[in-house]
Amino acid sequence: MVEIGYFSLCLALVAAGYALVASLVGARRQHLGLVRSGERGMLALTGLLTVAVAALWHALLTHDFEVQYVAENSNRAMPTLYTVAALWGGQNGSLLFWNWLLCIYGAVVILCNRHRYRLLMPYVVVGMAGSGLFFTFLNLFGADPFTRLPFAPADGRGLNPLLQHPVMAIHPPLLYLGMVGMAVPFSFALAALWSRQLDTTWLRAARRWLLIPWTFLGAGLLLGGRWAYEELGWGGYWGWDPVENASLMPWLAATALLHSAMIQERKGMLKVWNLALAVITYGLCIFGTFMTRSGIIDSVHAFAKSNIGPFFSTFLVVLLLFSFGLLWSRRKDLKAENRLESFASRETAFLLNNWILLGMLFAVLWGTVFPLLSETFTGEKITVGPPFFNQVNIPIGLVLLFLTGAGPLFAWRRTSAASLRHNFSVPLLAAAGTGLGVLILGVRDGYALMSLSLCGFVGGSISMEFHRGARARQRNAGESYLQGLYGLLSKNRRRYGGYVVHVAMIVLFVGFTGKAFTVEQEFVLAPGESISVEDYTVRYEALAESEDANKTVVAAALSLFQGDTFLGTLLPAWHHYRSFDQRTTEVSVYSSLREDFYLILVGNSEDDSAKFQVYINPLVNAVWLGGLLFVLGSLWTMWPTERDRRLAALDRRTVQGLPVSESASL
Amino acid sequence: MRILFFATLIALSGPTLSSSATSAAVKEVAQDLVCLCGDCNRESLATCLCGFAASLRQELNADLDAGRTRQQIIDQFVEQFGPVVLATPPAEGYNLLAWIAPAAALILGIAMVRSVLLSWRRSPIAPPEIDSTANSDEAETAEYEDRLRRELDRFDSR
Repeated sequence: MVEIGYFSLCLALVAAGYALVASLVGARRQHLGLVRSGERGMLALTGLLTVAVAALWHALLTHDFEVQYVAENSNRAMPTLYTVAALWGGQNGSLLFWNWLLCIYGAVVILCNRHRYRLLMPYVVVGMAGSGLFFTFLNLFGADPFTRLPFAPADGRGLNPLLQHPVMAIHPPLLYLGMVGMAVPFSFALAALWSRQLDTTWLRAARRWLLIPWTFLGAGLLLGGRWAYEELGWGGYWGWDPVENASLMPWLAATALLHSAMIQERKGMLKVWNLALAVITYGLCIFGTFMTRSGIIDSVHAFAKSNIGPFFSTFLVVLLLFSFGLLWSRRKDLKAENRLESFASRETAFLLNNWILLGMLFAVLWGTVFPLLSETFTGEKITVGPPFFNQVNIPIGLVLLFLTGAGPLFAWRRTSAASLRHNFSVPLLAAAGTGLGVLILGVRDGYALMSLSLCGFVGGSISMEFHRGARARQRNAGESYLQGLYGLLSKNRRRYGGYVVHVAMIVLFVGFTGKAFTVEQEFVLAPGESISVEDYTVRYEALAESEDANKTVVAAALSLFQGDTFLGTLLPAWHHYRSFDQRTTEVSVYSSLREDFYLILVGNSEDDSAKFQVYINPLVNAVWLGGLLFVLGSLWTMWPTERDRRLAALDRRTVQGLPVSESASL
Repeated sequence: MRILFFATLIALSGPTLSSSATSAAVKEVAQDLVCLCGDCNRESLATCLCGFAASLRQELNADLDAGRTRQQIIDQFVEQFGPVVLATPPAEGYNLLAWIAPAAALILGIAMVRSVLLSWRRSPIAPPEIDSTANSDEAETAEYEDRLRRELDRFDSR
C-alpha cells in the first residue's frame, strides 16, 4: 500500500503540472478541449491524492511501523480514533492532508461551475492546481509521509499526548478546511485579474467559497480554544499563541473581505482593495503555516516542525509578487464606478469596518513577529506575551464592537441627520440601560463596563433592524409579526443571516468580557479537608493511581458544594505518558450557564495531600454558545435559496460569458 | 532537557507542596513575568504549573517577605534571565516600536480611509438617480426579486 501511496504522489505531481499548463494554454487560446482537459487533470489530481491519503491511513491502521511517519505518530495502544487522527498529528501527514483538502475544494468548485463563469474558471483551475503543485512537490521532496525506516520497530512512539483529546480529532480538519479553502477566493481573484473580467462576477462566484472556509476557520478557532481550555490547564481558552494568531489573521482578513465585497457589489467601488484582500487572506494562510511549521517562532501547539521553511517562504514570495504584479498591471481597469454622495453613509461605515479589522490584523501580526524582528536587529531575545496582545487588542476590539452596531444604522448613499438621530436613539438607550444595569450588579472594571454596554448597543441596533423589517413586511405583505420575522430571515438570508452572526459576536464578546471577573486560587489539602472559594466549598476525598498501556493516571476525587447543595464529584488528574515522558493535566470542570468551576490537580505528595488550582470563570460558556450561533448564522447565510437553485439551473442551460464560437461547440 | 526537567519536577514536588499556596501578592508580580524552563513555552509565571515556575514563585515570595519592591524583584529577574523574562517588551529603546507600530498603523489607516473617501467624493461619475428613502433597500430588493421570479417562471414554462 505504501508504494501505491508514494507512486500516486508522483503521478499527482504530473497531474497538477498538467492541469496548470492545460488550463492556462486553453484559456489563452480559448481552446475548450484543453480547458476541459485541464479540469479533468485537476479531478485526476484529487483522485490520486485520495489514493495517497488512503494509503497512509491504511499504514496507520495496520500499524506498519516501517513507515517512519507511522512509527513516529502512532502506536498499538492508541484508541482507533486517535490512530485515524494521527494522519494530521504530525508534519508530513498533515501536509498531505492539507493538500488533499485543497484539491477536493478545487474539484468541487469545478463540478459546481461546469457551465458557469467560463471566462474565469480556467484560471481558477490554474490557481488551485498551482497550489496543488506546490504542496505535492513539498510532499515529495520536503515532507514525504511515506519515508521508510531501515527496520520495522515493534511499536511506534504514539501521538503527542496533548493531542490525544477528542476535540483534536476534529479541530485540525476544521482549521485546515478553513485555511485551505481560502485558496478558492484567491483563485477567483487571480482569475479575474488574469482574464480581465474585472467586474463583480468574480466576487459573486467566490462569495460562497469565501463564506465556507470562513465558517470553518471560525469554528476551528473556537474549537481550538475549547481544546486549550480543557487540555492545557491554565484556565483560559485563548493565549495569543503564534499558532492561534496564525489562524486568526486570515479569519480577520476574510471578515474584512466579506464586508468590503458588499460595497463593490452595490457601488462598484473598492475593486483593487477586494482583489488585494483575497490575495492577502490566502497569503496569510500560507504565511501562518510557514511561521508555525518552520519553527522560527516558538509556540505551544506547533507540534510539527522541520526544515520546510524555505519551501513555504519561496511559495509565499512567488504568490505575492505574481498576484500584486498582476493587480498593478490591471490598475487602470479597476477605477471606482461611483461617486460617494455623503460621508454619513453605509459606504463609510464599511470602510471603517475594514480599517479596524485590518488594524487588529496588523496588531496581531506585529506582536507575533516582533520577537523575531527584535532578535534579528538587536540580538536581544524578548517576549511578546498575552498581556501585550490584550492591551493592544482590547481597545481595538471595542471599536470593532461599536462599529458592528453603528454600521447598519447608516443607510446606503446618504443618511440625514434626522434619521441618524432617530436610528441611534434605541441602540444608545440600550447601551445606557445595559451599562447602568451591570454597574448596579457590581461591575466596576472599565473595559468590562464598556464592552457590556457596547454589547447592549449592538443588540439594540440589531433588534431595531429586525423590528423595522418585520413591521415593513407586516404592512406590505399582510403577514403577522412573527411571519414577518421569519420572512426577513428566509427572504434576505444574506442580510439577516449576517445579523445573526453579529448577534453571535455579541454573545462571544460577553464571554470574552467574563475573563475580567475570573477568580483564581491555589490551595493544598489533605484528604478529608475542605476549603471555600467564593460561594463554593470543595472537600478533598481521596487520591487514586492507576495505569494503562499508555500512561499512568493520578486522579483526585473532590466533592463540590454550593452552600449545602451537593453539586457533584470533581476528578482532576494528571497523566504521565511513558513513551513521551510527558505529563498532561486533566482538568475537571463543573459547568453552569453562569460560570465554570475549573479545577486542576497541580501535584501530590506521598502522604496523599495534594495541591490544587481553581479558576472560577464567569460567562465562559457564552464563548461556546456564541461559537454555535456563529456557525448556525453563517450556515443560514450561505444556504442556497430557491433563487440560487433556479439561477444555477438557468446557468446550466445558457452558457454564460463564453465567446459565441465556444458556446456553440458545447 | 526534558529528562532534566522531570528530575527537577520530581525533586521539587515534595517541597512545593509542603509550602502554602501562592499568595495574591506573588501572582501580582509573577503575571508580568514568564516561565523560562524551556518546556513550558513562556507560560505566565503566575499560572505555569511546572516545578521550575513553582520554585521561582517561592523565591519571589521570599523576596516580597524580605520587603523588596515589585520593581526591584522584576529588575533582578531581568538581570538573571535577560529581558526575555518579561511578559511584554519593555517600553523603551528599540522595543518601544512594539507598542508604537499598531497605533501608527491605525492612524495611517484612518488617513487612508479619509483620502479614499475624499477621492470618491470628487469622482466625476454621477450616481444613478434613484430615490433613496429609508426603505429603498427593501423595496428595491423586493421589486428585483419579483421581476426575477416572473422571468424565471416564464423561462421554466418554456
